[in-house]
Amino acid sequence: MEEKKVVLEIKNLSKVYESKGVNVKALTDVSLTVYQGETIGIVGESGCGKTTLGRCVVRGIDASSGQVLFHTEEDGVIDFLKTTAAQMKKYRRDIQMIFQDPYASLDPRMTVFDIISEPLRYNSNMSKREIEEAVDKIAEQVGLNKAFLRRYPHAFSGGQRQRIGIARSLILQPKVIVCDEAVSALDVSIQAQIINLLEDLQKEYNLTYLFISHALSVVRHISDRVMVMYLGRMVEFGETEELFANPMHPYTRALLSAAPQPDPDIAVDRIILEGEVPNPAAPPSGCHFHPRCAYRTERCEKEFPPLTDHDGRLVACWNCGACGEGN
Amino acid sequence: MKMKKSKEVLKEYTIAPENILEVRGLKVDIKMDDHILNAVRGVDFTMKKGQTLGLVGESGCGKSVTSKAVLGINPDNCTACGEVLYRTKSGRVLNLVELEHDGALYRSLRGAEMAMIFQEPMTAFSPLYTIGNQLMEIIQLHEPDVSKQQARARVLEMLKKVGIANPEKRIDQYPHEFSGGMLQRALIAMMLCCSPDFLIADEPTTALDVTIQAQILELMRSLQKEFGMSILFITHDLGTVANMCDHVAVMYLGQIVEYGTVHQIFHNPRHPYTRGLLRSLPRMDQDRGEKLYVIDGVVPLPVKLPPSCGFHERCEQCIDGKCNRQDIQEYIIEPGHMVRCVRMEEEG
Amino acid sequence: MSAVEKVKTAPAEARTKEQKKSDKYYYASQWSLMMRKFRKHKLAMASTIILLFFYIVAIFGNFVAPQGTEQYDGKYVNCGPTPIHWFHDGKFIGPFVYGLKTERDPETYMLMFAEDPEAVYKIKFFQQGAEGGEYKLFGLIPSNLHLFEAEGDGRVFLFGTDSMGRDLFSRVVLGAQISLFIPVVGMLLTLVLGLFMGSLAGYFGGWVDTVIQRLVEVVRSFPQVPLWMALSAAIPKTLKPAQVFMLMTLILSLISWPDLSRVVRSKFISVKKEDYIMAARISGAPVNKVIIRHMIPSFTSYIIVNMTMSIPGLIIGETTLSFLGLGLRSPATSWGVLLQETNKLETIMFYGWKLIPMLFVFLTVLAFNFMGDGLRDAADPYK
Repeated sequence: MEEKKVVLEIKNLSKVYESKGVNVKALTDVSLTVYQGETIGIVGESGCGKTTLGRCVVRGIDASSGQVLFHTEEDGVIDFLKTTAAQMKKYRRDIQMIFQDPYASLDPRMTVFDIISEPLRYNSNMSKREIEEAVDKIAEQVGLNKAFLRRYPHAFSGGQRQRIGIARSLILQPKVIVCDEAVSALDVSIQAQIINLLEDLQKEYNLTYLFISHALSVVRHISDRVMVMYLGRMVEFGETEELFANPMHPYTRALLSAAPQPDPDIAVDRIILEGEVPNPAAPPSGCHFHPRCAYRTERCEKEFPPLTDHDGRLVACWNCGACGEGN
Repeated sequence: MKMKKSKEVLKEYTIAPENILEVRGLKVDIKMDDHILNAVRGVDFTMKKGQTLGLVGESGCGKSVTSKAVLGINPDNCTACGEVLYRTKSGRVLNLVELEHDGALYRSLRGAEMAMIFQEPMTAFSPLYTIGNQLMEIIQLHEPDVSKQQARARVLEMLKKVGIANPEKRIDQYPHEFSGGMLQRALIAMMLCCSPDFLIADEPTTALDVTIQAQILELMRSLQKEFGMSILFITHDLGTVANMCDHVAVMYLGQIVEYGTVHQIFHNPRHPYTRGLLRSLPRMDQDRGEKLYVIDGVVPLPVKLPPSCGFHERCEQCIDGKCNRQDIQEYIIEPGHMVRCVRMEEEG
Repeated sequence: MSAVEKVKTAPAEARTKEQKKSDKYYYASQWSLMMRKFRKHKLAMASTIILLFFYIVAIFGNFVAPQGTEQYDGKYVNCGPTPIHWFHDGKFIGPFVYGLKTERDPETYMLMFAEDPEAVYKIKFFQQGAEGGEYKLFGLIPSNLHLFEAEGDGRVFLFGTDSMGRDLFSRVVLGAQISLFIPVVGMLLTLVLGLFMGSLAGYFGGWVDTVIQRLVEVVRSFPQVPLWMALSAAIPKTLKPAQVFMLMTLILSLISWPDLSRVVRSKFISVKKEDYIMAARISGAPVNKVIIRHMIPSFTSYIIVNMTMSIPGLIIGETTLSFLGLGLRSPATSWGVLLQETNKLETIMFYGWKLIPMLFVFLTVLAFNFMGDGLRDAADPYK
């Protein structure tokens, strides 16, 4: 196996929202090293901070603290959060995003051609002809009929709109794409089309994906490594296959067992979690998960468990050895 | 939907004694600005008492319109025809399509005998009144002689039953103080207040997180056992169907293309659409790294469709001259397993 | 690529009528989608046609009106509308009027006009008008051409005359120039003010927003009519009609911008959260491009609706001020000025035709409201 090249490093990234005097920690101290060409799945329930993480990485919102280190060939490692405007302009194009809602993410007043070509107009000095060629090429690649490029988004179905969104994010030939629930709003048969398309494109351009989703089966299918988040923190991180086969954090276990599977014979031996995801404005003390955890101890209520390494798997749990062997 | 003019002079119908609902040849047209959508194009199914029927399909397949036609809550630009035969608690069999939508009879059925829970529980509650008030109102609406204290006691009991912690405090809170999962529980409590026989659940867990979804499904299962309700479960999520339902009807373009027990559908799917759907799903119990199966193309609009199989344009096994020329009949391939596909003819 | 959708396209010539129809829809921009929806609103379409007609007549007012603002005819004071005839002695001779004889009412001794069946004056079209009827078209081209005029001593008073013997029809047409255009100019001023203040508040937020919002509240909490009156009373009486006109529009727009600025502000705030705005920012679009290309176009349709709906208020405002004698004064004319004559019971009893200008105020306001309704329904074609 060839040596893995780091493309992106996220270090201790945190985001605090302030509203009416209350601080809401949407993201706390998340670190992650991303290698070129891999897909990192980011899973968790609503309010876990996965969307905030994605938006901080693409600079859609400003992180409160931490670093997003981008490894470039010419300028070495640059910190996306503290870079000069010139460098920002140069490298912003390398990290793009695909949105969840294929309806809300396309400006309904622009033709598909204008939507796809817009990033080029801000980031290159290409002539009109060159832009047209680039758009035609990308459209063909994502499976859009070139004849329809002068149409407006309302002429397209959800799946086709998602292709338009993908084309827009690809046109700048980025290195990293953040897919924020990119297939969640699509029907099953369309979802499969888009997942395959994303995989094909990844192979062709050696793309790196941060694949944010709540759908575990999709994440399992597409990701090489998976990060599980709960209430703004990373609770478990590891190789996809291993993590799904042997989840170590009690939350990951519950999450996996709760996911309904399309087979009536799979034993319905679920771990049904009690309670709900707590309010991020007032997270529980200690381990945020402890009020819902069946294995909680006194220590869990007081101290937040640090991420510890278990043969390459990172887990934030005081008892992860214990409950894992229990089953 | 159009008002029916019948003055509650209803024909007599009979359905099999073990059934609570029989739908025969239901068609629903939706009038749009410049065309008519044939949203439901002849749907037949039966529901046994105390069982759960899953209605699955992708968006635009007519599953929601079908369920709303049963409850008579489709908007005014929809017209339904066919038979929706429903056995009331008193044993009378009514054809719901004939009833006036806002008539006294239909209204007395909705809520008291038939109930519905939705994808967005927030929209089912008024933000201006407490949860308790709204639940008590429902009880007193259907049983006018229940006193306020009695109603409150019943609501408390129901809230406890659906697993809302600290119901004495929760009963006086407003909907915005509830989370999505809690609201869905409150909605289930609301529907339980009148102990209905028949429940329509339209994507009840789609908007919820996975762990909360598991809680709500578990709750629905246990309540069904306790009250013996029949549930018409509408969803696009095949995983949920496999876990919740006894029977499954797969819909495509306004028709049921395959019907059977949950085992027949998931272990022996015969319609190319059902097969494609199941194969295109990423699964937790299969090897990774394989390409997902893909059903090419998109669902056509149900406008002025020629006689044909609705799926033929996307079907890999389409037989030219048959699938695109004639309406496809239903084939019963084994007891209780119906497939609407010409290929079944050859296979007997 | 296996994932690629097969998109079947028939050759262009083989496309059916239905397909062509849907093609049109697919290639339709926001504005053509709005037009499609707007055309379906029959009442709004009818109103638009009526308004267009009014505005065209007003623009060519001096040509349409037989008399100029300064002209009057002492012989015909308080004369009722003259009927137009087509047949004389059972013979068709085209449109004509009879001469007018004056009589005294034997009981009230009021002057009355009666038709003289002997004198036949044909109505001639595109005639050079009498002396005093000269005007400059668009203020530039000198002309004395009028749409119609009776030959010789005949008089055509379509809407009758006023107490000074001026032709009411002419004055309604010329008044429309003021009454229909003050609101439009006022609206444009309002637009500039409202857009500017609203964008400032919506885009920057924070203390800028707070200051502007408080200002809006202060302006809105004044009672409108007294404020108008106070401001207009301050207009010096010696000004020329054109200057009064400008000042009046200024007054009207100074009072009506807050509503628009609120709409703009709230749209700014809501559109800031849209995914496609985020997408544009991620792709490296500079702030001004994001505002101009994405944000403002997303709510222009709402602004147009809002503006259309605000015109009736401005028309009524102008009419009210002039009616109260605080706006323009005779011989300059507007519909409000014309209505000044109707504030006597006598007028309503004997000279009912003098209420005709009111009908036009009424029709115009109603038409603008219907048109606004239609525009509002069409404003968001993506729903």
